[in-house]
Amino acid sequence: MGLKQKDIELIALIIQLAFKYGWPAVMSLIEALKKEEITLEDVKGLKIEDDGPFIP
Amino acid sequence: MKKQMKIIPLILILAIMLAGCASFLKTSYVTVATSKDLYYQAREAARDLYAQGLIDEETKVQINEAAKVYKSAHNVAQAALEVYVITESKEAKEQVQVAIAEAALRWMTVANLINAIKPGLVPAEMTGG
Repeated sequence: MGLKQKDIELIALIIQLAFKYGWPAVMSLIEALKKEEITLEDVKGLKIEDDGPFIP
Repeated sequence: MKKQMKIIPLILILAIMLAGCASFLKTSYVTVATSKDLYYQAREAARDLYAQGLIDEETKVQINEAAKVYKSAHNVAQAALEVYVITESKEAKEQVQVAIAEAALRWMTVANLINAIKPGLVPAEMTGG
């Protein structure tokens, strides 16, 4: 019962990251980590599409 | 209002992944996902700098070219990961690793150009923050 040591360390690391980088960035990371299964569609979504010059 | 770059260094992501003994696929997925985030957040930062008049036309051309090369390298890594998802082969896995390493190198070029204008604005390395 309860959290394992590894879980506690992971939670502490996440909290540290949140203080340093903000919760939105951490939540984005957590969403990616939470994925039970990485599908082909998930990976297809990682492509950077052509939408004009970096600096117009 | 100046937005602060909030990019989690990949080494920290990998530390989290290793803590949970994540699979190669999940680790690579998060790495490439973060690489995509890096591109867009660096683009926003570069556009802000240009709007502030801190990037001249010559530097703009250099940054655009470096970003184009980085985007291409990122998409090669993404495509390699697609192949790995389908085949799960050793060769495909190696291609993903090589492609991610190449993207990391190309990121450094983009980061060096942007950080030369405003030090520390973006992570100098994809794996070091």
